[in-house]
Amino acid sequence: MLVLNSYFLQLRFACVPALHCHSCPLSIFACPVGVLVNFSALRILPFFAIGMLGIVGVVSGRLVCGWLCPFGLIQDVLHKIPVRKIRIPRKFAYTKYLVLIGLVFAVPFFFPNSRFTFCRVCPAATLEASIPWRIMGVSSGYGFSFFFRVAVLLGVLVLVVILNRGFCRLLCPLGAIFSLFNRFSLFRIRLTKKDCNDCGLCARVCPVGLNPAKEMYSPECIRCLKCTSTRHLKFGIK
Amino acid sequence: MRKRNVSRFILLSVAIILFAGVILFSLLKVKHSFQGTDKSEFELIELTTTDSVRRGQDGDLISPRVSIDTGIIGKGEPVKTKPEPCPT
Repeated sequence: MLVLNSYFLQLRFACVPALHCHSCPLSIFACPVGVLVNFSALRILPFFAIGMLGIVGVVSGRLVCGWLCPFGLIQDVLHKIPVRKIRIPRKFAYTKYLVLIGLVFAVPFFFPNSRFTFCRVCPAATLEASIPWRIMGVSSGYGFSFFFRVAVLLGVLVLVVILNRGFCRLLCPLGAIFSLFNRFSLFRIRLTKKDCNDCGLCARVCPVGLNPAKEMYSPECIRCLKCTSTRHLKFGIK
Repeated sequence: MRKRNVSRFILLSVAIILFAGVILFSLLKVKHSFQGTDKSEFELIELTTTDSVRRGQDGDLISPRVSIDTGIIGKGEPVKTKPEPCPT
């Protein structure tokens, strides 16, 4: 796969709408957040990334978070570890907008060589690129920045074990972008009113702690569609 | 309710056309000066993921470091910082 990827599967001129690291040895496409960070640092407007993220957001909202994101899958698996889980107040969800504005746009724009742009602390980048490159011997630096990244990764992994989809809910800048479209996207969750008897079943299965019957257009909904298994909610165009 | 849905669909169609237009604009019109040559946005995205592209002192885009994929050394201004093969 690594050899194939080195010679044939290089499509890094295009970004796909999922948080991953394009420095990963197996990466085929560019990461949209990485493109936004790089272009902010170069002070260029990334038209392609804006158009692609806009179309995906308008059509499906945060469906990508629930179904396409590799880091979301890692979170789902880790959250199955049987330890005591926590709940957080809803207002903490705004931190991901601070991450988006601060680490994706402002820091790279004003300090292009900063060690604290999003890519340099991104847990997905540490997991998919920093650690594999060091294991493969291509990158050999074990300085402050590497250990800082590993510390951030460990912190996020602990967070997602105790808080379901903790990274998506609190820190993910791509989720912050797509969440802006959740309210009016083409595909969205709707309530079949005649079937709803306020049983609260959909709230019990929601991984991000929403009550889907009342908050079906919430920016926090990752469109995992678990609530549609109750048959009181449907996913569609209407 | 039905009227509201129609206006929503019109707004969504306008938004999709707008974003598709932005993508077409990036494909057909956008060019960036990189080390003296014009590069499309796609080429620049690829370069930023592999070659640590940055702005030189004259404001032009340069690649002062060795590409991790091709091993080609950029022809821009000489780099004063320590080389780092992988940005992560």
